[in-house]
Amino acid sequence: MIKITNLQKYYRTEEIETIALNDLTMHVKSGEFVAVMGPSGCGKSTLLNIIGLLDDLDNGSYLFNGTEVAKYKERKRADLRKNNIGFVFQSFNLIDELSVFENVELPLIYTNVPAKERKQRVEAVLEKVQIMHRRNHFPQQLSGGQQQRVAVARAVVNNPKLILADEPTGNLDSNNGNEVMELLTELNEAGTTIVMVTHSEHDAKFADRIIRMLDGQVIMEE
Amino acid sequence: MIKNYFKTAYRTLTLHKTYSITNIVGLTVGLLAFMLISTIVIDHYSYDRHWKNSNQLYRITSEKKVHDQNFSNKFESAPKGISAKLKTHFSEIIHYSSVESRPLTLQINKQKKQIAEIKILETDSNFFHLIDIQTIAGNPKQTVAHAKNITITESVYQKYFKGEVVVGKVIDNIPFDGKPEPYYINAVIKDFPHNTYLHTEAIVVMPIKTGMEIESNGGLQMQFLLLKPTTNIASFTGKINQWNEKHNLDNDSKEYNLELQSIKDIHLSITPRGENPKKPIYILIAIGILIIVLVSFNYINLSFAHALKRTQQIGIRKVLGASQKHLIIQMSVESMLLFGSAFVMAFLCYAIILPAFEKYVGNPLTMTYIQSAVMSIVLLFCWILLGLLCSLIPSLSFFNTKISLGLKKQLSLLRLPLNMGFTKILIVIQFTIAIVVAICMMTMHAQLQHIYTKDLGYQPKNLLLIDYVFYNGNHESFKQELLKYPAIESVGNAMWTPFSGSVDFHTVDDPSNSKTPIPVIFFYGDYDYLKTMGIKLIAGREMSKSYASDALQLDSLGNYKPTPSNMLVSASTAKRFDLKLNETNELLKKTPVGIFEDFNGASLKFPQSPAICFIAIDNWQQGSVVIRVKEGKHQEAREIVQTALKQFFPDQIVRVNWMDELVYNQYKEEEKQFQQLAFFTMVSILISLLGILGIAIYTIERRIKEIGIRKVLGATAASIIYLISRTFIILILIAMIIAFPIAWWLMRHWLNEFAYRIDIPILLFGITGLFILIGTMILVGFRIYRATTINPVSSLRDE
Repeated sequence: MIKITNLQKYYRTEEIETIALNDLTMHVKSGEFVAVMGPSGCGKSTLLNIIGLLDDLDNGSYLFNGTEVAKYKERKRADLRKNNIGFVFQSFNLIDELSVFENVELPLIYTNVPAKERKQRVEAVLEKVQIMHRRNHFPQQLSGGQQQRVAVARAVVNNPKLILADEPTGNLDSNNGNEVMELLTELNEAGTTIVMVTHSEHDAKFADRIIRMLDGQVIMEE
Repeated sequence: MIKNYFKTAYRTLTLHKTYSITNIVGLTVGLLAFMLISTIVIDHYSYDRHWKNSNQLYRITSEKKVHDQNFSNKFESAPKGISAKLKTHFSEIIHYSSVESRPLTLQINKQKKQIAEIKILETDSNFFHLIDIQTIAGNPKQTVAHAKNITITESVYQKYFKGEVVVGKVIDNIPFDGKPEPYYINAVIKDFPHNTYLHTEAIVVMPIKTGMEIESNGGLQMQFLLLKPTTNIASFTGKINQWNEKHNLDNDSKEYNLELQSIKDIHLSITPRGENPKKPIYILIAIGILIIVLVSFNYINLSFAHALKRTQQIGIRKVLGASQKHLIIQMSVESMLLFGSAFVMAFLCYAIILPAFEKYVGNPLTMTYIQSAVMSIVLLFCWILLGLLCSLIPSLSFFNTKISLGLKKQLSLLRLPLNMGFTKILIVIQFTIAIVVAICMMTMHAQLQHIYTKDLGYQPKNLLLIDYVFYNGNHESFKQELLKYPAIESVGNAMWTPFSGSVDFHTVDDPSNSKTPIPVIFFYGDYDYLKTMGIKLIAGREMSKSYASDALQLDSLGNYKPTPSNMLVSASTAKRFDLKLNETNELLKKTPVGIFEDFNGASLKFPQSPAICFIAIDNWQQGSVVIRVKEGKHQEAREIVQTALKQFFPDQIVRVNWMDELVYNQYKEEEKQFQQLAFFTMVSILISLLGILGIAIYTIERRIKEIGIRKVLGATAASIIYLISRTFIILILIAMIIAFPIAWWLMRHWLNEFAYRIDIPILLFGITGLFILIGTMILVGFRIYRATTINPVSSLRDE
């Protein structure tokens, strides 16, 4: 599904140039659960930005489902992103002004799904993550674990091919963290490809493969 | 989908109350100010557009072909009778009419001695073909031959004849001299709307004279023409002037070029004296536009300031697939809610304030947003459109910035500081406007104070003026009756005062250049006039009964004998003509026996006349009376005067005013301009402060971590306040540098309208700018101080 070859990413200011990703090559097969680990500053988040089409690369190639997307303009990237990729963030990133239902509904609105179908799909996914009973609550009224379940629901409501999780248990206690990891595992078993950035060795064990990074490069794959 | 947008917008605004309230207050104040200003402007431009013939109705004006440097050459009227003559020669004219506006005193009830002074239009029966009237009773076109015919308005009826059958009633007038004339009330009509040049309380119809019966004799008269709709005005004007030149038998009329002025243009046309009534309207229009600019800038600034709180939300939406269209719609819906709320609040305030506002303006406003649904709908439409445009800038800016997963694992919008540059520009513009109007307001205030306190050369304080009285031989006994009372210091009779009466104009050769004539004004009073006015004698003697040549005498027919006589002259006249006391001057043909100090008898907007001479008059038939009252005896003196007037002149309506109030009222227009500018200054400063407060809040939130770190490292609150407010100080200083030359130019222009004016007070510029700077710093500084009191642990929690 994901084929990255000789990826290079620089951050430039007037005075200095920082190499965030240095000739990185990696592959992720469809249906795989891959964990990306490494110390702070090694380029994990940058890599995730690029995979998620949130940022562009300076050099190299990025094939997404066999299509070269490296030179895509923002509009095409946005289209590809909303139809194929779901995101789960460390700090949940739910919209405070929207209820649980409305937060999960949002990706369906942006893909022009009709209202009736939206209702059905949102309810189904809320049931799946066991948060249906809080559908009318607002994020401020939920615990951390509940918020992350909502975020996971939002990430999967559009049936994406790929889920990108950036330290999904970083703000959760161990019990809630486990619940979220089990959710992700279930999704992966159902066929969704997952790429997860994590510091936690415990969470990494849920993955099929661990990619370790250092200084913008892959140093090991387990 | 739309429901989702509205729900989100509503919840966003209720969640961020400070932002919402700040915005709504600024928008409401700005819109309300704009509504009030635009109501006045619309009212002025609505004059005389409501007549069904307003597109075809023209006034004939005239201009002397040979200009006289010293007198007015343009007139709002035309040679008498010319409209009648033109009718016989030109088929373009459907009807014509002459009109004169004057006061008329009527004896409403002889037994009760009830008299009324009303404003009338004296015209002919053709008048009713020109304008549309609504008759309530009688028929204004039905006239009688044995009396003058008068049509009264409804308000006159309600005031003086309520409940009576008034059509067919005959009432006498109270003339200045001669026998009373009967007036036959032939109809009652609905009041004219206030927004007409022809506003009146009654119409008196005179018989129509044909062109053969009248010659102009050099006299001018207000005349109107009703032209055919197809008339080309430019070519018709050419035709009538050609006819006037070649075929008009009246030689006096040939001295003038004729012009046609649409009735719709009269109200705002330049007066023969050169005063432009459109100037204050233009100032109001500029103020209205600037207010809208300020509120728009404010909204944009506050939107950017609010961006920090929105970046997460906007970033998430972009990640989830929101397009530019979605973001624009979301922000547009928010702006619609804010602008819509402000519209409702402004409209309510407008409805509540309107009666008091009409009182301030001095007349009912016929076209208001309350009365006209069309006006309200257009305003709402434009207002919402403005809101959409204002929301476009921030929403386009947000969409064009990149999103990323930042260090804090929160979505953030990069390059947001780019928008800060834009907001800084807006802040500078806002404060430039605020500083300019504040300086203009202070300068206007200084100029008004100058003209109120300037030595006029006479003493208007404690001086009562009886406008005009027909003495019936009682002038001396009336005077002596007043002088019986200790509250009255002196009394003088006058043919002229600064606010009433008339003078004689003559032109004589300039002694230094015989080819140039200069106007000389002769004004007349009794022996006590100058003393009562407080005009100081600086050389020679006062006029006195002891000298036979000191006063003009009346002959047996009541005409003044044109015998050479003595006079008093102003100091500048004595200098101009090199006059010697008690030596007859050949040019002026009189002998100066005394010199008085120069004085300003007219508005200080106009220069003093070059030469002024005073002639005493002994016998009086009519005139004004000036009364010097003892300090602190105003109430008593007024009662004395009213009692004496009732005793000596019971059948006359006489106006009594304090001279200093009349002096003050001369500058009513300027005083109004000052008040409007003061109001606008407050509005613009308020809106600018709201804007800068919003930016300050944004800046503080953006730098809250920095503040926390600095505190941990030992910085004091004062040093942090200075650090963050430095930017705003610089912005306001830049605004001051831009504002000062603009304000200087504007005020130089405004002050040039006054013959007597202050120098532009440069010191005032600095003081005003400093005042605004300090006020802003207090407000912003207080907000920054609050941020410094936050525990650094809270702001550095994520580190």
